Amino acid sequence: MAGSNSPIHVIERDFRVFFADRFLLVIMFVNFMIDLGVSGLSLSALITGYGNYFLYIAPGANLVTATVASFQSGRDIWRERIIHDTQSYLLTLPFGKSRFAFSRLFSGMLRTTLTTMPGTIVIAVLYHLSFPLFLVGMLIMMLFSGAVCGLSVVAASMASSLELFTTVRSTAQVYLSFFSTQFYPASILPPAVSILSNFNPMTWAVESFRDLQSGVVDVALLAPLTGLALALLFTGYLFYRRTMEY
Amino acid sequence: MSQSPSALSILWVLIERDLRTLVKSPWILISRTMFFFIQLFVFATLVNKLVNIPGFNYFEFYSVGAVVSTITSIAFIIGADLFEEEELGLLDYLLSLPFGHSLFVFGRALGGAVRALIYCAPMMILVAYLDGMLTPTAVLGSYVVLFVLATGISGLSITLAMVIRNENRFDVVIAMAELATVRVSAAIYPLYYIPKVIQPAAAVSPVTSASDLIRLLVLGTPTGAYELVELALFVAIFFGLGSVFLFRKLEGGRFE
Repeated sequence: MAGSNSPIHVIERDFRVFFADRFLLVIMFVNFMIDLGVSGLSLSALITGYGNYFLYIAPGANLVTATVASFQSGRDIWRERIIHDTQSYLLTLPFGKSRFAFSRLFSGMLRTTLTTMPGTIVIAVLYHLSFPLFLVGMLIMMLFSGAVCGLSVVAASMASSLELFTTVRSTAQVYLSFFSTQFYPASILPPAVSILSNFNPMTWAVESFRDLQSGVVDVALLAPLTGLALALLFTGYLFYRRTMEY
Repeated sequence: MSQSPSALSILWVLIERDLRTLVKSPWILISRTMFFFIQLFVFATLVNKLVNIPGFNYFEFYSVGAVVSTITSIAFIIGADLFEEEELGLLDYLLSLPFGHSLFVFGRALGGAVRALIYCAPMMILVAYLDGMLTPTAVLGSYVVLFVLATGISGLSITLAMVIRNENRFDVVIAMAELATVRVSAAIYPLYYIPKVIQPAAAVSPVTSASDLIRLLVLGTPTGAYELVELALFVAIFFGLGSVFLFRKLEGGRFE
């Protein structure tokens, strides 16, 4: 049985908060379906000279949903800090501050991976992935979620108003979507956008997922995603930790 | 004895207040402006390279959609403002001000539309210039269409703000409503290329009507007069619904 200061309790609490309103989960899946079923199919009907464009952009729809779900972690932390003022109470619980911070980030990754699992299954079916490759797909979603959770916690740690937090969230969403290879191949990107896209977790996540269609896992694509995810998670941890010092 | 202010001056005060509220949110203004430019000069430019349909310029098509989706996004903010006022208990104070509640409802919806139009006005000029149709008729006509659309979207946003009680839920529902109104429309792709099962819904979307009417003015793309009727109907329905819900709340309906 988990001890009273086990991170499991922190993760369980975050899951309870997140899944308390199942309506939100439904809305997130509806968003995914609009992205995939309306925008994806419409754009693929327009763009015909690049193979199956629908399959090309399909993983991006799920990764966008993951972005929205990951930012809910930051929003929870922001609300605890600014609105409910419960962070001080949470810090009196029998957990080390570092362990607490890591557990929050880890729970964000886990719950986003779980939230986007229906979408991941849809893409796996579209790509005819084997079960082991589906699991790799889940790993890609988890790594990407980690990167965005890191970003969302940085935003939550710095923002003093909801307006600022939502602005950072929207900016991150625009950066992740438009300055990556979510919609267009790297070969047509202008040099400046190309440089930015190399530091964008969306680029590596979407490329890794697309590559699963070939039936193999390309470590050269997974490695940068892992590196970016770890870097952003650690940055999120540092910023969150800083809010715990008075 | 001093005369009570006229309805017009009250309306102006309400609109001015909403304008000030938006101006006091510089982050929102800066970020949405930035997104507009990114949509136009990154997304539309790059996707235009991928689209290979003779006689069809995706950049020009999308440029109008970018303005329409931006004004939709800004018009949706009025609901968030009302939701926040309700949460802070400010709505009670506003009710105590010396004018009728119907005027208050009308003023807020107009305020949402006017500020969205003012914000998007320079964007529309830029798009008309880029599309080679920078004429007073095209720009002023587009402003009228954008204003009508923004009024309807403000009504829809007010309706949602009055129906939803939970802040998290409101945030996600507003985001979905914004996504659905823009994506299930001909704002960012032509109606013909939208999946057949979605086409009927997209065809009657007010965002489609507004986009088509502006494309008629700016790009000369032909469209039917029914677009005007659809847009007017949308405004009437949601302006009416928003008013009814807000009115019910103002009259002590179901505050929690």
